Parts: sequence; structure tokens; C-alpha cells
Amino acid sequence: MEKPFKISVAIILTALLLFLPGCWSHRELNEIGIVSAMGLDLNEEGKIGLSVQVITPLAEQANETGQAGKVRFLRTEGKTVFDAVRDMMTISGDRLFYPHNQIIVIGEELARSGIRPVLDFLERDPEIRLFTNIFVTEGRAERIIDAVSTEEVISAMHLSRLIENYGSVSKGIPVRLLDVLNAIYSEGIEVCIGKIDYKGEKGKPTFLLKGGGVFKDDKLVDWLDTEETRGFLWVHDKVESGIIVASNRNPQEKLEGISFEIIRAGSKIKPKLEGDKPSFTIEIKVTCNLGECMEHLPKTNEDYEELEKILGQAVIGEVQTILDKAQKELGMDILGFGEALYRKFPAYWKEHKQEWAKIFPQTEVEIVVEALLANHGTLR
Amino acid sequence: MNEYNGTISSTLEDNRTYLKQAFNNSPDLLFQELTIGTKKGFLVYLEGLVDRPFLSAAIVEPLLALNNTQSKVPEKDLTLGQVSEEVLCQNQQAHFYEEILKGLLSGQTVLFLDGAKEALLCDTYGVKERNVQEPETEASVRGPREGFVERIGINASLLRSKLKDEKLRFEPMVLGKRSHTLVYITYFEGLANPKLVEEVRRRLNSIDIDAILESGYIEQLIEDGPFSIFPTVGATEKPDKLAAKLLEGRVGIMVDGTPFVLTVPYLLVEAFQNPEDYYARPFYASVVRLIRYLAFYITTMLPAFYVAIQTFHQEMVPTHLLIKMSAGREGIPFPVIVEALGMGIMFELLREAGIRMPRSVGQAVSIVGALVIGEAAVQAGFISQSMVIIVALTAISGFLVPPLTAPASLLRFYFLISTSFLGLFGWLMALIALLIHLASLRSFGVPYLSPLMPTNVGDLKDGFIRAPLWMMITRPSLLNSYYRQKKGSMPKPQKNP
Repeated sequence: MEKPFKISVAIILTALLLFLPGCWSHRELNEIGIVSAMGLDLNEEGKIGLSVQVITPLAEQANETGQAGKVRFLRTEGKTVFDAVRDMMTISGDRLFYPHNQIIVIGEELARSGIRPVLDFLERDPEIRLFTNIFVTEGRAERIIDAVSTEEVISAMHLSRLIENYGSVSKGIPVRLLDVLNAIYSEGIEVCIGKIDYKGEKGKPTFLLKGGGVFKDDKLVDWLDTEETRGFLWVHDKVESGIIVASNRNPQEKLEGISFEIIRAGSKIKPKLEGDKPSFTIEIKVTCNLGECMEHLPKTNEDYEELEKILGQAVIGEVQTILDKAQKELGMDILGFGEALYRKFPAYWKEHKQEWAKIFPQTEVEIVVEALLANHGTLR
Repeated sequence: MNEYNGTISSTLEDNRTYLKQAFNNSPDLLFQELTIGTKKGFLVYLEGLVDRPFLSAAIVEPLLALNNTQSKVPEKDLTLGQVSEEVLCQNQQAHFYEEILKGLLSGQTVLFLDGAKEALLCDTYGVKERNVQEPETEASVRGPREGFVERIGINASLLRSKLKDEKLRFEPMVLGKRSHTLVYITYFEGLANPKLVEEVRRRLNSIDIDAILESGYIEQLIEDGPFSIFPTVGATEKPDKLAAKLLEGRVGIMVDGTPFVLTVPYLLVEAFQNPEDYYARPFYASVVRLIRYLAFYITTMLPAFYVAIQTFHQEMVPTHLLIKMSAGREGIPFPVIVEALGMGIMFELLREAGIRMPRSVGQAVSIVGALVIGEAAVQAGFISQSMVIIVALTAISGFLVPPLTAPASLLRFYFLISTSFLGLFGWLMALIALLIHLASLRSFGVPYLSPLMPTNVGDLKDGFIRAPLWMMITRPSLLNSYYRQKKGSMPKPQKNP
């Protein structure tokens, strides 16, 4: 072949290489609808109800003009989740785009009937991120998705900020889709998902990120209140910061109470096996600042040692709440004792995992708290 | 034609007719009659090429003075040799017409004497010249303000005044069949690798062209990668820059008639170096150099990257930014790639217009460009605001690395097209192809990407950063210069005890 011919063939082939497979999954930004929140419910006749919040791009610019039209709320239902997702296209007009989804909310009814069927789609679909925050709610999930925030134009953004800041309160359980999947697939731990709530009092709608839902296998069985949630976080080493309120001495006095601000906290579950009887030690190390002391001013070292004792007792009390709930009330291992046992004594676990549900409520658990008050005596 | 090869006739009239014929009675060929004693003769020169006051002072006056002076009464047989002693300028004798013609064309004045079979060539070159000015292409805040001019002799003297060393060599060479352009190969004997000098000589000798009108002609005829968009021959207007390059062991090529002196070998890193880096203190100079690299990345890849994430990788953008970008795109009638290509072409138009337009109307271009096209297009909703920001940033960054402005413009479109088809994947492919090309380039035997690749840690001290001068005590090893150590190694500055 002649050289010019060869060169022109090469150029044509390169151009074809660009044009034929090129533009694969090309989509213009204005042709997609960015989904910011997604809710899953169980509808009548066992259908999956999907509700999404789609960001209207001009929303943030139109801030002054009023509330309407900031986000769109869309709702479909389908036999499967994917069915519902695809049905969204029939009403949205845009191609919905899920990677920027901030939060997945699961409605109570669906949670009680089992979440495993819907998790499969969330796990399988490439557009859903495994790091998306997931929550359960009392009532229907679409209530949360449709809720309007006064803080942010896009309420999902408000929610994601709430989740980011959970650490300074440590009263809710922030879990991501990946955590839920891990808990569902592993033995010796039950799933626990944070609870989200919405109170739409007149003109003052508020989101609440407190407490959590306890799942047996994949079915919601009970709710945790805020104190139990704190205990849950202690055991799972997820306390980042927050306030421990304790009181002592004169219960008769009206203004009393000590606030400890958590600076550092860490915990470990240590299983022990004596003969055929497992027992556990929960070791917690906590360092606090004295945030507030409504009682008398502590002066001496003894006063501070006293305060450290109070702190330790308070933490033990918080952990004990959840322990009682798990062992006595629910009889479910939501704290992951089984998993810890499995890691340390795999042989024992293999033998006894079938009857773990029976063994767990009877096991002895010791709580050891090492409490430390930092910055003795400094007021400011 | 053999007519120019004849020897000079001894009769004045023959010579005169011959010259008139050779120039076809050109009006700028001037003859001036002279009588020295009894001897007749004439001066001939090309008007405009000679310095006429100098001509009369150095040749005409001394010769006429012979008539008046008592002591030196002209003898009957005044020879050309005697005349040459009287003339107050450089001169030489010529025997052939060919020499005469060349001499006339390069501004010499020729003296013919009756009866002599030779003529006297006197150097009287004096074209109206530009003064030594600050070069416009390479402005500097700190550093010498002088720049090369069109006359090669002045350029050589500018370089000599920087490097007062007898080892500085100028090798003359005449190139161009019709232009007979004088070219100097300049290098430092003992620093430049003799093989490199020999290679430059060889390439220059193989040039076969009518005329060298600018050093760009030579650049294109001797460069290593004629099909590459990257320059493999450097050009500078600054004597200090040329001096520094020669000291590193490079070879310069000066061309008469242009202020741009070529330097070889030319590597990619040199495009990011600037004389001012060495005149300023090293810390900020290093930062600025890194910024230049960043600017090159921005100017070549930013629009491509923007198109890629806008059309293929929306999940990579932080959510709030995506919302903003999406809001900007709302109602824009074109796809992003059309926007980007359109704005890119628009910028090239404005830039070219800004360069070519007469200075006085240059202002109008920028007003039209900035106001009408930028502002109005956004207002009308043809182009998104973010695209204007991207293009503006790209344009500004392009000016940070002047030697690579041309390749950068081409690369911008190259990356833009590849990402518009294949997203970041295409961008990566294009980048790999570019790197392969760069890695295969050489300039006079030196790998184009050195000292980055092949990595030479020692030479990298003048690569991404500019090390303090007292640390740069060796010459670039890749140039294989003779003496690795710089003359008088510099001690680290120390406090007085």
C-alpha cells in the first residue's frame, strides 16, 4: 500500500474509534435530575412505594422568591424497587441521577416487614452509593422526603448537615448503607438503624435525629430512646463528643447537675470463656472536661476525684440501660457480643451459635469505666 | 551563467559598464568620480547600505587630501596598495567581479583606479538601525533591559559584553542562495560538547534554501521533530538568557536580520524557566516556577476536564458545586462541548486579532472581546457563566508559559475533543499518547523530557524548583558539557565570624 493511503486509513480508523463507542453514557447536566433524598415505603398490596426529592437546579438562586419550586417531590410505586425507580422516569421528565443522594429513609411499615428485599437493589445498583446515610422513621418515609426545611433550600442538605454534626451530641445512630449490609450479613450482631423524625408544627418544621430502630434479622422490632442510644454508641465505640449529665449529693436541691463534655472516648468488648460459660467486659475509657457544675465549686483534688467517680457512674448507668434493654427486654444481641466472641473463640461460636439467642440474655457483662477529668480547676 | 566570474578589467569604463549591466542600471547604484593626482578613478556603492558621512570622512577626504599635501605629492604610478594605506577604514583588495558584487551588496564601497586590475573593497556598512531596546516578547521586571537587534554584529557585541572570555566562539557561515545571510554559530569552547557543535555545523551546512528571512527558517530546517507541535529549538531575544544557555554548554545560532537567536538543544523544562528566576531569590522563584507548570496544566486541560465531569462524571463533583453548575447550565441551548469549543475558538480569534491589529485599535478588540462577547453572550443565555470563567482562566494561564503558547492552544482542542467523546477515560488516553510522543522526542540527541525522564536528580535542581545559586555548581550533565564543574564553584554564603 502506498504511504498516503495508509495514513488516511489510520486517520479514518481513529475517527471511527472515537465516533462509534464515543459518547457512551454521555449526558448533559441539564438533562439529569439530581436526587437528594430517597424514601422507601410499603404500600398496599405489597408494593414498594418510592419517593424521591429532586433538586431543581435554580433552587438556590431563587432563594428570595419564595419557598415553592425549590425541590420536586415525586412518588411512584412498583412491584420491585427497580420497577419503581424506572417508573420515576415516566413522571420526572429528567433522567434521575442517584449518586448525589444524601439520605435513604425507610418507612416503619416496610421496616417491620423486613428490609432485606429492598436492600438488594440498593446494594446492586451502581448509582447508589454505599456511603449513603440510611435511617428509619416512624410512620411513612415519604413524610420525611416531602418535608420542607427552614434552614436550607434543599431539606436533604439540612439533613446531611445534621448527620455530620451528630458527633457533638451523640444521641442518634448514624449508619451508612454499607454498615447495614455488613451487619445483616454478619453473625453475632443485630442491625440497628438510626431514627429520623419530623415535626411539622405550624411554620416551624424540625427534623429530629434521635434514637434508633432495633432490627431482628431484617425486621424492625423496637425503638431505642435517646438514653438507650447513647448506651448503644458507648458499646460500639461511636461516641465522639457530647454531654454527660449527672447529679449527686442532694437530690432535694432544685438546681443541681453536672455536665461533662466528652473530649475523647473509646470502648472495647472483651469476651472471656470460663468452661462453657462466656462472659464479657466492656472497657470504656473516657476523658471529659468539666463543662458545668451547678453544685458547689470543686476545689481540692478530692473534689475532682469525687467528680470522676460521678462521671464513671454516669457512664456505667448509660451503658447499663442499653444492656438491660438488650438482654432483658429484647433478648437480642444488638451490641455485637456474639461477633466479639466469634472473633476470640471461633470454635466455641461455631458450636453454640444456634443457641446464642438463648445464651445471650444470661451472660454476665461487666462494665469497667476509666473516667478522667482533664484540665483540673481551670475555669477559663 | 559565467558572466560574474570574470576578472576585473583595467579600464575604468569597462568596469563601470559591467557594474551597470549587472544591476540593470539600478538607480541606487551610485558612482563617484575621483582624481588622485593624475590618476582617475571612481567609487561605487549602493545607496542606503553605506554610511555616507563615514564614507566621505574615511575615504574621500583622505584621498583628496593627497592632492593638496606637499609632502605626499602623488606619484605617477599610484598603486592601489598605497591608496589602501591612506584610507581610514578596513579594506581589502579584490580581483574578481564576484567579490565586487558581494561586497557592494553587503554595504561595501568599491574603489576602482584607472589601470589597476584589482579594486579596493572598503567597509562602509551603515544601514539605519534600531537602537538596542527592551525586548517585547520577553519582558522582565528585574534584569537587563537590553535585547538583541536585527544586526548580527551588534548582537555579537552584546553577547561579548556579557561574556568577556576569549573562549567564546563565533563561527561565521553564509546561508541562503539569494539572501546570503550571515549566520554565527556561537558557543563556548571547552563548555559545549564538540560533537554537538559539529552536529549543528552539519545541519546548517545541509540547508539549501533561497533566503533566510528570519531565524525561524533555520529553526524549521534543523529541528528534530518537524511533525511535533512542540518546539525543539529555542529562541530568545535576551543576551543574558543566551549567555546563560551558552554557559550551560548549549550552542547558539545568530542570524543576521533578526533579533531572535536560536539555542540548541532545547528541552521542555526550558520553557518553564525564565531568566528572572535566577535574578530573584530562590524561594519565590521556585514557587513561581511551580505555578508555571500548574498554569500549563490548566491552560491545556481545564476545559477538557470541565467538559468531562459535566457530561460523564457528574458523580465526582461535590453536590453543592454540581447544583451550582447545573443551575448555570439551565436553559443553555448548546451541549457543553459546543460551548467549550466555541469559546475556545473565540479566544483564539481575539488573541490573534489583538496581536495583528494596529496598536491604536488594539484597545477596541479587548473591549469588544470582553464586553460584547463575554458579557452579552452570558446575558443572552448562549453561554453559561461557568464556561466564561473556565475560558478566562485558561486564557490567562496560557500566557504564563510563552514558549509553549502555540502547543498549548493545540493541546487544548486535542484534549477537549478526546474528553467530549470518552470522558476522563478519553482524557487519560490522550494524555498517555501525548506522553509517549514527548518521550520519543529528542533535541540534538538530548531526550526532550530530561531531566524529568530519564530522571537525573542532579539536574532536577533546576527543574520544578530553582535551587539556590550556590547549590547549582555543576552544569547540566545531559548536555555532556566538557567541564561539569562551573568555573569557580560558589561557596555557600556564610556569616562573618
